[in-house]
Amino acid sequence: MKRRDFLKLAALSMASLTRTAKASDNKPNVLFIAVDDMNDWVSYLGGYAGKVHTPNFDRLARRGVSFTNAHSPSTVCNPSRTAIMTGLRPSTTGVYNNGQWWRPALPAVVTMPEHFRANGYSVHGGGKIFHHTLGNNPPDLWDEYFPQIQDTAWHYDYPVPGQHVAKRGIHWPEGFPLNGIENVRLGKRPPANYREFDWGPLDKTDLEMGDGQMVKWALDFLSKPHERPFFLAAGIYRPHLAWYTPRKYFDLYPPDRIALPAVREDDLDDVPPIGRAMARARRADFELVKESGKYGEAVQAYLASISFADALVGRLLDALDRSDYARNTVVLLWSDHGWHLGEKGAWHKRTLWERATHVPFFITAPGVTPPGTTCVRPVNLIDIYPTLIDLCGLEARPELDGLSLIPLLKNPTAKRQRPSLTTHERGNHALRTQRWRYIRYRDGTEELYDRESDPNEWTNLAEKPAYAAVKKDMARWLPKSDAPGVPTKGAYSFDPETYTWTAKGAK
Amino acid sequence: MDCKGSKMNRRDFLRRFGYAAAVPFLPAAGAKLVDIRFNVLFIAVDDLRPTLRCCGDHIALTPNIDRLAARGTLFNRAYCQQAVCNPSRASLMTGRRPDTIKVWDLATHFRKTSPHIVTLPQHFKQHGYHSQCVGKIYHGKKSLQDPPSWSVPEKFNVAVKREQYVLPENRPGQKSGKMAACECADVPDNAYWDGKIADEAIKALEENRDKPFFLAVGLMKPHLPFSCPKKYWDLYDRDRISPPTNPEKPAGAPELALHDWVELRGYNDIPNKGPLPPDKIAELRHGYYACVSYTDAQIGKLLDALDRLDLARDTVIVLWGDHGWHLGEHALWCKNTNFELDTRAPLIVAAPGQRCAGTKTNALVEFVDTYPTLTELCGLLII
Repeated sequence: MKRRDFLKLAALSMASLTRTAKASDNKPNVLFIAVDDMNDWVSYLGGYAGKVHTPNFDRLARRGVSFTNAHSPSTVCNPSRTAIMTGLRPSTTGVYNNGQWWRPALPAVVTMPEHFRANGYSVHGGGKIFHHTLGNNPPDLWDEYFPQIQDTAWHYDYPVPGQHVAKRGIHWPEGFPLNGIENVRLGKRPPANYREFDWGPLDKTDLEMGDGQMVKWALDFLSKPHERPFFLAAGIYRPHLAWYTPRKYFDLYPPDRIALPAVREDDLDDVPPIGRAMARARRADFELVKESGKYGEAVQAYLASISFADALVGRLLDALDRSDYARNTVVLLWSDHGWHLGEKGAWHKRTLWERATHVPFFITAPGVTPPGTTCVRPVNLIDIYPTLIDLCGLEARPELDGLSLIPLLKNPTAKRQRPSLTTHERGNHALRTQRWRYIRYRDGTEELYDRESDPNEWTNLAEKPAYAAVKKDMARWLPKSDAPGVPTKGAYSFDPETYTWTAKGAK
Repeated sequence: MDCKGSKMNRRDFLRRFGYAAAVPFLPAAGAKLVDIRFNVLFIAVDDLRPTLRCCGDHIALTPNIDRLAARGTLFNRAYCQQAVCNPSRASLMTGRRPDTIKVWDLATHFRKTSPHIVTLPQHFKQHGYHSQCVGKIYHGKKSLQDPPSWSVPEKFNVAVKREQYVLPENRPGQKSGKMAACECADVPDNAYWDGKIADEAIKALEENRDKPFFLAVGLMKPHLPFSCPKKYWDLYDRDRISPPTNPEKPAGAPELALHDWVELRGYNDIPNKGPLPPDKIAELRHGYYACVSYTDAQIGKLLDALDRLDLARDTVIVLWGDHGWHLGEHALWCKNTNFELDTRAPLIVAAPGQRCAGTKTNALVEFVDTYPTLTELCGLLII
């Protein structure tokens, strides 16, 4: 195709799209807030033994429905976010890890922003919505995008073997690494990724931080008039590493009052080998933290990062309340998955236990959600896409894997039969009901925990005959098939200038 | 059509790229544009065979190269393209075999046959890197240098023999050449060239730490003459350095495969023909090990500077010897043959945060692999 033809056709396709957009006067706007690596330590979920300062999450909880048993579709960024944004599970798409590119694998899939746009919305995004590494944020998904700004020299332009290097990013913070770990300073392993393995207070204001600059962009957006209903996605990166925040958030957590997670030495003895391997994935990082005498500081930094993210959420809510859109905007907040800080001997995400799957999740929909309600039913972030379709009157997409949460938004105690499903790599699944967590690995090995009596998931009941019926009842919710993994990044060369992938070996 | 790797029909294409064309990607207002590409520290060591502790040589004292190996991958079976300085270096630096660039001798410049070839440092330069040469990277003659490879003029790149001695008896005249094959002088490191090269390279690191750089550092020892400071000779007890394990000519090898080590015989303490006396063999072997430790110490200074300047976490380090060397084995001295000892040379590649740092591999690799490896590591287009 010649360039001129291409542009002509492109213009035509835009024009026809605008003409076919439905009348959208009554459609609500959407403020879609994502946080990264935030586990259930936030105050309303009570996962942390001490006090956590998340007043704005509490404020969100007062406005609408807060889900106390929400889980992510996967426990690593790319598969989880791809699932949320496409409405399709990893077991449907074959996108299982961060080493795959979702777009060339799923060229015909209509993502959430694309679907909103096709239904008359203007779609705006900022920060981290899809996974943030090179090649996961096609610019054609959005009418406008504010790229993520890192606080450390990581990832926008982290060289991808065989790829160009995009020239956007910022440099190491002064004095890197602030945590003083020598391996990090020298770029040695462990840790697995020294570029982000740091934490500490920065003498910056909220809005000078990378996340803050994105929020500032969103505040500007909310202060302006918009003709069409909008879908505004604001992706906050904290509490993802590096745990840098303005100093005041560290001051909320005095070092002498940090509670370390409860860990049982023999905890993994009753866990099958694949589960033990998952717990081991970043064990070297965890050992490095402990050997460096930085465990308490790391926990403090993670908490500070949660509170910083919470403060940014507060700024978004303030701006929304001040704006013309306060009364007709649906607000969602979700985290892409949880994070272990030593529980079950695991550091990082990448497991199928509660600490990795359980996330904060809120929905406020004017005229739909009763204020200040809690929903204890098991739900999954895969349900977001169909829920927004219902809330915003978008064209139905029956192929999606999730179930609309509308019944629960109207009545948080409504029955819901389907458990939540979380997948980590092909064939490993965790199902969660209100009471049970059932894990089945690709080799058929299992775990079963009774969360009512065992909130730390220390006693695996899967081998006990008395629970055969529970397992059987849950197993019917496992995916009927596990899609083969889509090609890894190594199968393509990617050109960020034109945002195109070429299969290696193709002529 | 784009996106060949996926099943995409025309409408999908328009849906995706039509928007891209119609709606420009808005960059962040005020987003700073800064390069954080990997730098490259590219260390060439002249005539270095794998007489390194990390390569299993238990005589060698090479703590710094061992430390580099612990950061990266050590290739146990890396082979040069031709065991002669100019062709080996021209080949590695252009990423082409000697037969492709038609450089097989010590006189031909690769630009003569391939005038527009883009060398490895030139490729980095064209991608915005500061590319600089300190020491011997191309073969050490003025006519074989390659200014297009570098952003700034080379330093310490061509040394005549006289400059490789410090003792007066080895510098009898203004234009004196090869004198003794070995020299031991109680002088500081930078009395000899490799010490000066290390100092200059550290200066280059300090000056260029804020931009992506490709710094090539070419150390001249353990090339003959084996001249280095006394403290490196003192590291070894000559009696404990074993004589060559296989000093006989290979049985049945044609004469063409061998040579009479003309390079060594040019030194004034070496007989013009015939075998060497045992004490000369011991002295030469001692000298080679001493010079290896001397270069190792200079490499240590570079590694320390990277750590001190907080550059280690952004810098890929490569170390290679241009070919191997015979120290009396096979009744041979010097290089030039196609035997194992001449064609196998050290190769270490260390990338920041590398997985499996400290591994040694027996995978068979060639020096022409260096060019694409570095470009891929640094995310440059492979040409």
